[in-house]
Amino acid sequence: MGTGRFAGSGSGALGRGSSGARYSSASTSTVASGSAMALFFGAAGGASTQAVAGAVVRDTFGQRGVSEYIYKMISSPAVQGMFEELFTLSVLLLQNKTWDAITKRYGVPDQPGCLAELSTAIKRNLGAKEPLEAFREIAGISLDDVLLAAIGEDDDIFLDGNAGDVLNAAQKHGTKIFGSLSGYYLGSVLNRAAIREVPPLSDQQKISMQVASQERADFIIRRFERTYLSKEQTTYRQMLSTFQNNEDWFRDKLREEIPA
Amino acid sequence: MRLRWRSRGLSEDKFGAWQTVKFADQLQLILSGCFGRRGLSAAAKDLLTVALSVHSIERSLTIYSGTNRPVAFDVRLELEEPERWTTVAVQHLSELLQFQGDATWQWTFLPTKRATSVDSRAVQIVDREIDQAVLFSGGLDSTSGIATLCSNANRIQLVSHYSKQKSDQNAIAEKLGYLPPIQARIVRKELGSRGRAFLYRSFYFLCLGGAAAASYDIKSILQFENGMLAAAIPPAPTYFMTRHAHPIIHRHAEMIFSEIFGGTWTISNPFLSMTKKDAVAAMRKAAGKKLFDQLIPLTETCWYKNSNQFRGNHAKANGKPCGVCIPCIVRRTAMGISEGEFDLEEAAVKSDPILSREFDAYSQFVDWIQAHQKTPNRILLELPGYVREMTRGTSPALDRTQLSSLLDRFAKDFRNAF
Repeated sequence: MGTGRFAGSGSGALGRGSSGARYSSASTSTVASGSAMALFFGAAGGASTQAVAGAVVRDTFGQRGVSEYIYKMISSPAVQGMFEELFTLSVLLLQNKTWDAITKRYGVPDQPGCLAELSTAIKRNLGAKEPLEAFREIAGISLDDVLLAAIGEDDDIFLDGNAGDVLNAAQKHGTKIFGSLSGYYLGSVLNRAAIREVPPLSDQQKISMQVASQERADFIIRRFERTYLSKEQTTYRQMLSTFQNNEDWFRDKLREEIPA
Repeated sequence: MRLRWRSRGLSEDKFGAWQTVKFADQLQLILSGCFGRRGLSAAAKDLLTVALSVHSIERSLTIYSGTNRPVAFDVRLELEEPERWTTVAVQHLSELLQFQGDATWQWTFLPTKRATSVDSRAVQIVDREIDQAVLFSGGLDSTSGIATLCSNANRIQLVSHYSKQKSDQNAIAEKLGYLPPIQARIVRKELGSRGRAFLYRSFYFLCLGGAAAASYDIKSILQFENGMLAAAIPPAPTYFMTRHAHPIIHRHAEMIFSEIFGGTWTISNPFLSMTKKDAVAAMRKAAGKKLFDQLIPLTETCWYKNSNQFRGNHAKANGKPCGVCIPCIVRRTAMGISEGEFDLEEAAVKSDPILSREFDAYSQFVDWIQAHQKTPNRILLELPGYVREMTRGTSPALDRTQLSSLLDRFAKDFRNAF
């Protein structure tokens, strides 16, 4: 009926107040450490340098409520499930010359827009296991981020290409992406989560946040490699479940200073 | 007749204590106006009771839950005919509410002999044939909608909820040649009313429409809402927009009403592909300039209208729109003029981070839309899944071209207004 109200706030961790976004504005920031946020979103055009973006990501994830939320998110069956599916897809898209195996596994035929349909099929299946929309959304868009990267960021192939277009693009661009799948996926998950916690971003700020989130993801993965990888048969595929089983460790890594 | 409910927060492992609400004593829906010859059936009363309960539960939530917002509700509710709530109906009810509020809803319906949740003493039963029930809030979109249908006014029953806009709703309806709307208000006593998110309120509006339509033995409801807000397109990822007229809500509500009342129901939004400016243009064309000029001041907007302050202790006149919240900003894209307490063209307002928060978000959003005008697929891929979902399938609610056009027109309207 007419002008319904908006919640107007909070697609991310910090709850939903009655009105307006629930992050603090730059000048009154209690979110992040104030200074980084003020520099990044400041009235003087924003100092969107990479170092500042890194501080914003660190300060945002460093908040108790947010780090707890991110921990819950990476424990989500949707976020973990998409990661698992991407490992499977890396084989199906890179090693197969036809779409048949994908049709057999996911029920998605070769048709225009088949990659988008495949993504939707995976989201529907795994989304049913996750009640929280925010987690489903972040998992889903991160899945798309990786798939898009694997076909050379070609939006048209993603939305309208047939199996031949997808497989050709994946052969060309996918090896690098799927070779560093953990990094690409975790980077996207952290970026998509981070931008839900901060004020609206300009295109330049979005890029800075994306790079900073990727740096945070790469840092966490390096620490994971040092601490857990290859121990007790832990592989990259178990990365998120390892994080889930080591909450304090993971939350520490979200806020730890990244060495230069 | 009682409602019992409890909730669990995101950070909690267990549900909190049960809350009990006694209908009639603490919570009641007051109806007035003309219902069809079937009157208010037990099924309709039960539907309204469910909607009233959801609305009241949301109102009882704390105003700011921090990182512990409610993510699960458990509700036990007494109804006259609980057996009508089949597995299918409950499934669609739960899915609808989950989509609206991003929380799970578990329902248990218990029998009661007589519903005391709805006071229908002021309802008149009339012997009249109509084609459609139309939700009418008295806002700009629903007024525009009923203006476009006014040549058929005698075949339409308007349905309204009011808090303080009862006389304006009646005046608009009368000017456009409609019979008075069915009007509803909610009375809550000693229940607290801090919750202001209103994520679920439109479910109650739709149920009002369903009860009214069922009384006239029709199965069609119209809800007018411009495409940007109906699709719940957020200006930035941080916003959680209400899904008050989203096609997904309409599909679930159709299924619920079909189960509860029988038959095949349809709920439509003729403005889904329109911007608010398009909707207002349709009103101007249908009503003519003279009537248009009379109607506009009667239409209302604003999250903060009935408040004497805006966020951050910014004082404002009670009863006046703020001019800076999302409904006010979107209204301004249609009207092109400042109607609120704060004018976003003034430097002091524009530079205030609290007053300009939503404006800045839309401004960034519009810049982004215009920067990617030639790559609409990129825009689509950055929109939330529930927006993309509308464009899928063989008969999408809004196809990709329509969505892209809607966004382009909105961006243009925004830049023309500001």
